[in-house]
Order: sequence, then structure tokens, then C-alpha cells
Amino acid sequence: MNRLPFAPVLRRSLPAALAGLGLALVLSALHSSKSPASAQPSVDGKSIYLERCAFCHGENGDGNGPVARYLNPRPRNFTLGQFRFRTTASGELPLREDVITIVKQGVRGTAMPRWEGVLSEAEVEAVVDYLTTSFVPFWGTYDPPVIAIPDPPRVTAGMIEEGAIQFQELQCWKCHGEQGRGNGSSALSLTDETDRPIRPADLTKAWRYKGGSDLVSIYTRFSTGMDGTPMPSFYDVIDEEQRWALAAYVRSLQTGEPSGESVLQAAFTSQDLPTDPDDPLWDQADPTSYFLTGQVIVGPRWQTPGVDAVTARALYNSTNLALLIEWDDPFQDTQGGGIDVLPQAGTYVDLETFPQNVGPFADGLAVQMPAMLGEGVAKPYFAWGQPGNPVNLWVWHASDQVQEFIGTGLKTEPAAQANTNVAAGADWTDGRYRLILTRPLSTGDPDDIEVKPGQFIPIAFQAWDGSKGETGTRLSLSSWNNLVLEQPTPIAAYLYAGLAVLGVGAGEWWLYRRVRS
Amino acid sequence: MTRRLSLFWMVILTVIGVNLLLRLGVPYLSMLIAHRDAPLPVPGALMVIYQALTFIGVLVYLAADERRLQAFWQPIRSFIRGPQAIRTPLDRAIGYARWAVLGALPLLAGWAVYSSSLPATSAPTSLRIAHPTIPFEYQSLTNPFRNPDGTVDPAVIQEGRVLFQINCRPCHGTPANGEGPMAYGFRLRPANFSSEDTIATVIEAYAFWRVREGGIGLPSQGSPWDSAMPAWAGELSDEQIWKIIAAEYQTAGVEPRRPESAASE
Repeated sequence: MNRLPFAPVLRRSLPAALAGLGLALVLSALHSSKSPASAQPSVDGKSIYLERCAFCHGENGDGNGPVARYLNPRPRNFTLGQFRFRTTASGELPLREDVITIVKQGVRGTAMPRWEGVLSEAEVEAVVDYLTTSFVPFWGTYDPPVIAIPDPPRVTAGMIEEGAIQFQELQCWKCHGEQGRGNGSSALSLTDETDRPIRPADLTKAWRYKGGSDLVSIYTRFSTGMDGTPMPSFYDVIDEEQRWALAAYVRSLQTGEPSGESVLQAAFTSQDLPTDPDDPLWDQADPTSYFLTGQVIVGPRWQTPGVDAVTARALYNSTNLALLIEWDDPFQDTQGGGIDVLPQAGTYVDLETFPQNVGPFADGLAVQMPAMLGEGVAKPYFAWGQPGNPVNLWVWHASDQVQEFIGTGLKTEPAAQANTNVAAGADWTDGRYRLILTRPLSTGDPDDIEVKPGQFIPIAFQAWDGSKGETGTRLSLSSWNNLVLEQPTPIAAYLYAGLAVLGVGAGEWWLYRRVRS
Repeated sequence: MTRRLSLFWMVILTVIGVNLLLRLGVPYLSMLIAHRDAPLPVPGALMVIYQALTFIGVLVYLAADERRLQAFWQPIRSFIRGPQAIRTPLDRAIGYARWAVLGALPLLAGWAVYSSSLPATSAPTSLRIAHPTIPFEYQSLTNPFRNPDGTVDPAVIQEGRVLFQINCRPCHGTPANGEGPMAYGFRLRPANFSSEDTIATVIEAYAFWRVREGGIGLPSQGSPWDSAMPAWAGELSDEQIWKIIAAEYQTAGVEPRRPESAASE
């Protein structure tokens, strides 16, 4: 039988065809995962606005949709014509591009989502054109003066020093605090354009910068101000170089964001456990940071968490475990005594009727571990446990009381334990708490678990910021994380490693002898 | 001209190639094909099986032919024996490198054994089943607001949309993409309804079950202790929940799976 004439061609081109097929597969996968699902030929700004925006910003653009009463910060009221994030001079309307940028990127830490990837470019433009021309007074009647944003200079140590001087001279600390933790003396008396209280940003938390935490964004805020807030423009106050220096300094205040790491490693020490947060022994323990978020599990839910991150360290010796927990809280509230507004009807705390002058309540922090541990025992629910599978809560309040509780879910008041085996010592300095909690590894108390080296123990954190109205189930909470007490390296590890070295060495020698002979 | 690669290096390259494929190729390719955000690693047991198969394959290939075995051993043998004579500075350098390799091998083995016998410091991972079986009493429920042709009255959608934005948005996000302002704090991230592997793969009754009973109502293979999903029964009426579900599918831009009975008609 003759060979088919095209067989050689086929054989030569088969690899190329296979490669092409593979490429096409990959490209099609890439393509279909990137293209927005809602790309439609005809784009109607009004119907997108009514479907995607009106429940918060209102059908009339007055920032008063049915969801608005649950939000803080409130949705923008377009009819006031005041916009935070602009590239135009203070008090002016934004550019169309400025509004498009905010719609695409969203405002981090607020209810304004990122629409890029959800709406197409054309849809974003259409909805921006609809809302600006329909609701914003004087829109399109003049060209607002633009503040040019030059290329950023390279940040130097000298710039940061110069910025620190500006920070003092311009009295930024009056609102933002000496360390930038949003705890200045005026911080509690500030209001926005609607006379609602507003807090200055905690500049140490990069993720709390609503307009972006990079150098250019910070510089832009200084140059344009944030209309509708007490944050002024410094365009006419300090020159370009000084604004870059101040931006560089503010940026140097930022600390890292929690990494997502879950394990808190307790380091072993043969010494007594420190009772002072400044004790150098704490340097031996690696810090791990965790996000906290609002208690949105049982009603009335709380979506304005006062404490959004804690940093923990752990040390242990032969008898005790000590935790050092640090978190930002701009104002120290040691006394309870405010009226509690619970119970409130509704699934969420209604921030429209939630009294702004409620409280203050005492600040607090809780460490949570399972009340039972062992093979075959399921983890309890991460938020205060559940009936039948309780948690052990070490609840500290700023009145410097610590008490152990048994939690069986957010719907039941935690029950105080007969014995509290935890000791607490706290320090609040310039907007930051440092709390040390110490407990014996084994308490002998049937309500407590025994803490053993090498074991992964579920651990979670909850916090209350009293002056933000947090008490009871209006709290900030974390997911389950893991605490593990570092085990000293077992002798066996060295032994086996030595054996491996000797064994492989001997094998090489034997081979060498055999090959040579 | 190109010289044929020696058998020894071909074996080494084959083993490296198979490992690269298992550790990088397959995970990234399956990520693209399954539209995931992260690579899907090959399960440990499968990894061991594939590697053992490769090893056995190589052994069989080598052992099947005496000359092949000799060809494979040749570079190893000459390496262990060392250079016959040192003539150039290059020979000397190769000689030193040979001693360095011979010295490093036992140390590498020792290090590998040491680090594998250290106590674990990374959190134990738990396998989680994203979609455990729907309880019997929910199986046959249907959304009373969905018309036989699959549509829902726009007024109902509008009502459900507002309820969704008030109650579900803080975690699941305004566009229902799982990126609400509360989501960052939860290790078990709120579901992204606009992805193809959440509500698009289940019937509406399944979503109704999850909304009513919440995370704490999951069976243990769904790790109920990590889920922040509230149990909404008692706070939202069944009617409100059905309206929310209709609006949720519409907001996310996906369709519910049709029940088996309806699909087979």
C-alpha cells in the first residue's frame, strides 16, 4: 500500500498543531475569565444607576437610598456638589475622569465597591454621565481649575525629616494625633458637610486611607483637600516640595497590613514571663497581626467595627503562657455607664437612629479558645461558640478587670466562670493599647483547656472600642487562628541528621573504592 | 552540530520535567481551565503515585538493556573516580568542584532529614466540602416568585435587591462578588456569587437552605465553625428570602441550576 502523500506534512505539522491547540485553549480560558459578564451593546446610564446605585445613593442622587441609614460613612449626596477625591482645586467640582476613577476603584473601607471588572468601561462612563448631569449642580457649566500632579520625587531621609517638621507646624497632630493614630485633641469634635460626626484617618494603617495610601494619592489629598470633610487643602499654604515631604512623612507612619498568617507562635523562655510590654524578652516572640471585622452574624448586626486589627505575641515558660496584644484605639474609655441602646429592632444597627452620643462604654478585648480540645471534638463556632460546644473567653475591660467566661453563642450572655485564672496588665499610650494576659499552662480548672507545647490551639480575638459605641454583641471579631507553643528541637532531629550525613558519606566512600579497584 | 544528550542527563531532565509538570504545569493549567483565582495543586497521594511511576519507568527503561545501563553508569563512575591526570587549570577547577559536590551530598541529606523531623509550624489544613448535600426537607422547594418560564416580576426583584443590599451586601458585596466591606476579616471568604462555582451550580432550594440555616447549620464536613453566614430563619421571612435569592441571581448575572425533575421533563 502506498503511503498517503500528505503523511510527511502531517507528521511535520502535528507538533505545531498541538502547540497551537494548547495555546488556543489557554487563550480562550484567559479571555473568558477576564471579559465582564455584563457587556451589552446598548448602554443606558439611567437604568444602570437605578439597578446598581440607587439603593444607596437614592433615586434622586441625594445619598438617601433605603440602605443609606445603615452606612457610615454615608453614601455621597450628589446634589450637594461636594466631592472628596478630586484633581481640581479646593471647593471645585471634580473632573469627569475623577468620578470615573472613584466608580472604577471604589473607596476602600466603605460601602462603595470597586466596579472595575463588574461594569464595562462604557457602562461606567454612561452611569457617571447620568449621575453628574442629572444630580450635580452646575455640572458642565464651567471648567474647574485643575491641580497638576507632577511626577513624584525620590523619597529621601531628609524629605521625611522635613515632612515631620511640616506635620508639627501645620498642626496635623491636632486631628490625626502625634503618632498619626487619629487621636488628636480635636478628633472627637469634627463633623462633615451634613453635620454628622467624622473621625480623622488613622495614618498608621495603610488600608484606612480612603483615597489611596501611595505617595501620589497622599500628595493629591494635600493639594486638593477633601471637600465635605475637615481635611483642608494645603495648596496655598506650603509649596510643592514641602507637600511631597509631608506626604513622604505621612507615608513613613504606615505599618504593614495583616498578612493572612494564622499561626501565632509562642516562644519558649526559661525566665519569668514579662509583665511589662517594653520588656526586651518580647523581642524573642514573633508578632502576628490579624484582621478583625464587624459582628454581622446575629442581629442587630454591626458593620462599623471600631478595632479592625490586633497584633499578638506569645511567650511561655515551664509553668505559664503570656500573650502581648496590641491594637489602636484613639481614645481610652475606662468607664462604662453609657446607656445601652440594645435591644434594637432590625437586622442591622440603624446608624440613623443610633445615638451618636451613646456611651462611652469601657474598651475591651477578649481572647477566645475552645473550652474542650481533643481528638474527635469539633471546633466550636468561631463567634463565642455554640450550645453544646462552648468556648473559653478571657475578657479584659479597660477598668483593668479580667474575667473568664463560657460562651455558647452570640445569642446568649456568656456565663462567668467560677474561677478566673488569667492575670492582666494593660497600658494605653497615644492611641494604642498594649495588654498582657498571663495564664498557667495547666489551671486544674475543668472549664479551661490545658495548653501543651506542639499542639495547635484554635484562638480568636474580639475587641470593643467604647467611644465608638461598642459593647456586648456590638463588637469587632476575628476568625479562628492558631496558637502553637514552639517545641524545642527534639534530640532525635540531630541524631537522624547525623546518621544521614554518615550514611551518605559511607556510601560515597564505598562507591569510590569499588570504582577505583 | 548537536550532540545527543548523554543518557544520564536525559534521566535527570526527565525526572525534573515530570516534577515541574506536576508542581507547576498541571496546577496552573487547571486554574485556567477551571477559571480559578489560584492554582489547583495536585493532591499529595496522586503526586506520590505519579512520581513512583516515573521512577519505575526510568528503572525499567535502564535495566532492559545492559548497554543502556552501562551508558547510564558511565558518567557517574567517572565522576566518582575523578580525573585521571591534571593537565590544565580547568582540570584543577573541575577537580575542586568534584570534591565540593562529594562533600555537599551528605550535608544536603543531613539537612533534609533534619528539617523534615522538626515539629510542624504551619497550621493544620482541613479539607472542606463547599457544597454538602441539601437536606431532604429542602430538596423539592421551589421559588414561589419564579414564573414557569424562569422569569421573575421586576417589582419582586426590586424588593429583593433592596433586602440583599441591606442584609447581604456587607459581606457579599454590592455586585454580589464576595468583596463586601466586612469580607476582609473572614478567613473563610464570603461566597462570590458571580463566579461559576457557587450559586450557578445549585438549585434555588439549595440557596434557600443556606440562607435560612446559615454557616452554623452546615454538616461538619462543611466546617460550620469557620462560616460567618448568619442563620436568617426567624429574622427574615421565607418570602423575603425567596425574593433575595431571585435578586441575588439577577445581581450576580448567573442562572440557578434547574431541578432534576424539571430538567428531565
